[in-house]
Amino acid sequence: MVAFGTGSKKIALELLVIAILLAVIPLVLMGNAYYELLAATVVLFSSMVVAWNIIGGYAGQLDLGAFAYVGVGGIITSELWIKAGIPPLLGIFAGGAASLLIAVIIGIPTFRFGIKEVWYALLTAALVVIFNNLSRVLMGPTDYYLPPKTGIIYLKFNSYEIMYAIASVILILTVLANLAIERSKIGYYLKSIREDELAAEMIGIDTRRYKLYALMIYSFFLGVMGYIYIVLAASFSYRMFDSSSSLSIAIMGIIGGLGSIEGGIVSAMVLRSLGEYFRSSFGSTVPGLDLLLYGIVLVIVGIFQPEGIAGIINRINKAMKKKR
Amino acid sequence: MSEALLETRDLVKHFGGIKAIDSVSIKVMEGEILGLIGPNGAGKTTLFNCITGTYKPDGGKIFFRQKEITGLPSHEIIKLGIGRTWQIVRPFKKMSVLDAIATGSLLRYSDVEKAKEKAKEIASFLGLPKDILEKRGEEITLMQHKLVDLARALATEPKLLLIDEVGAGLRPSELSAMIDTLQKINSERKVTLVVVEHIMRLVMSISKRVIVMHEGRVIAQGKPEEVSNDPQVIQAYLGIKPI
Repeated sequence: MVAFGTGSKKIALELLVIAILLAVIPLVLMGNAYYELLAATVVLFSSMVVAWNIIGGYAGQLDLGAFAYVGVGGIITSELWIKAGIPPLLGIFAGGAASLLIAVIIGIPTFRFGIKEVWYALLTAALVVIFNNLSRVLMGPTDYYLPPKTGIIYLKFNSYEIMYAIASVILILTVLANLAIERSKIGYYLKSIREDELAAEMIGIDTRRYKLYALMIYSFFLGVMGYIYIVLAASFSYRMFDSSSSLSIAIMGIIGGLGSIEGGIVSAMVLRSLGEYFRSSFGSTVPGLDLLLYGIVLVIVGIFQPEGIAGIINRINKAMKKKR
Repeated sequence: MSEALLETRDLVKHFGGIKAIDSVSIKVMEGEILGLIGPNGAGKTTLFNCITGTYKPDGGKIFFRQKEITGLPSHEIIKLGIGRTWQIVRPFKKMSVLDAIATGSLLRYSDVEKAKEKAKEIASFLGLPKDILEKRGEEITLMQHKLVDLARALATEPKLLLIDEVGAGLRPSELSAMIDTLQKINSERKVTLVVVEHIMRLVMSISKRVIVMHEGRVIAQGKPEEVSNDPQVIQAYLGIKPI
């Protein structure tokens, strides 16, 4: 989507804006461990929303299964460290690959049998529930903790500032992947599938194959992020396979605007921060208030700004161009 | 006339108990503009859908350039050189017009810049005004939509283009322009056309040969003026026996 001009200029500008944003946040929040943790979490959630943009925004598949992949990737990476001594710096790739494998196993029959729209949404939502139950059987109800070691090969530090930096690197890599997709054949093909799948087939696109590609890239990134999520949460259990978190990723992506990287980031940062505020302030008395907030914002956006935050950004851009 | 570009042999497609296509055998000759007419429900669009792989036929065979394509997936059939458009336009609403056409070009040119170049060339060939290329699919007129659909299909560089009721909803002046455009596609880009149409003015003015379908069967074929005097055709359209 057109946001900051066109071509390579656009990429440079977009990255610059994101980098500045990422650099400014710690200056404001520095010194307070809670805020630093919050900032790292928010940036990690932004990365998940940007990854979701590949399957949800470009390919237009309403995927509600984010935490199936986050959970698989995170738990595999952690277990590889705990049980086999493989450092997470390597392990995250195995975690990402494990999520990707799950995506292929799920994706091939799903797309083969033409499951789309509301059925795809339900299927992916069910996936999280299935993993939740399955892992409760396998792992029991206990919380597991990572070894107390820290260092770059473990991608684990006691300082939340460094964890924030790691999350920022992941966000930038995810943004780069999105930009690469958007500017190449696969991006055009995914968008055309989103717009009209039959018309896409009639210009020679193997729609099943391209939807599977989108699902694979998305799940790999989420799988990698899973471990960082565990480090920030300080422990892991079957509860990682969380339906409401999965839903919130899709909601943030939609509020940001389908196909819009910057829209997704802004939406995730604002909503996740507000959601966290609600949870910490009222969570003990009114649980689930953060989801209620997302729901309300979604309704408002749906009525007044169906193209999400991206629509607002586009309008500002157009206005600025006219002034020049 | 040279050899058949497309041939169907005893093609059958039924939905439940209804035979939408009942043993249809037609030949499309290379280079021609074939008119395919018939009342609503005659099976014309179903025939298109079988040829492009959207529907799997229940019987019979389809050959394209002497190669059997029955039952192949759509994307493979398109890649072999068949394109199609629909009666109701299917725009990529949230993409720019240029991007939509370029997505078609990507089938033959994987490089995005090259694909866009090709797309621009096709757009200007069809006479699409330059200023609409950056507009989004949701911001243009019906006539422009029809041209963009044609451009997107042409961008895949088909040998055969199946055009479904492109005249529907157009004003008389737009219709004349569309007739010129179709002839230009046929003569300058060497694309064989099969044109499904209700508007007789369009069919009669561009087709040298017409096939008439009724209730899933081919009931007549030949020159437009012969066909329009055929008693069976008159009966199919008017529902009465000619006096």
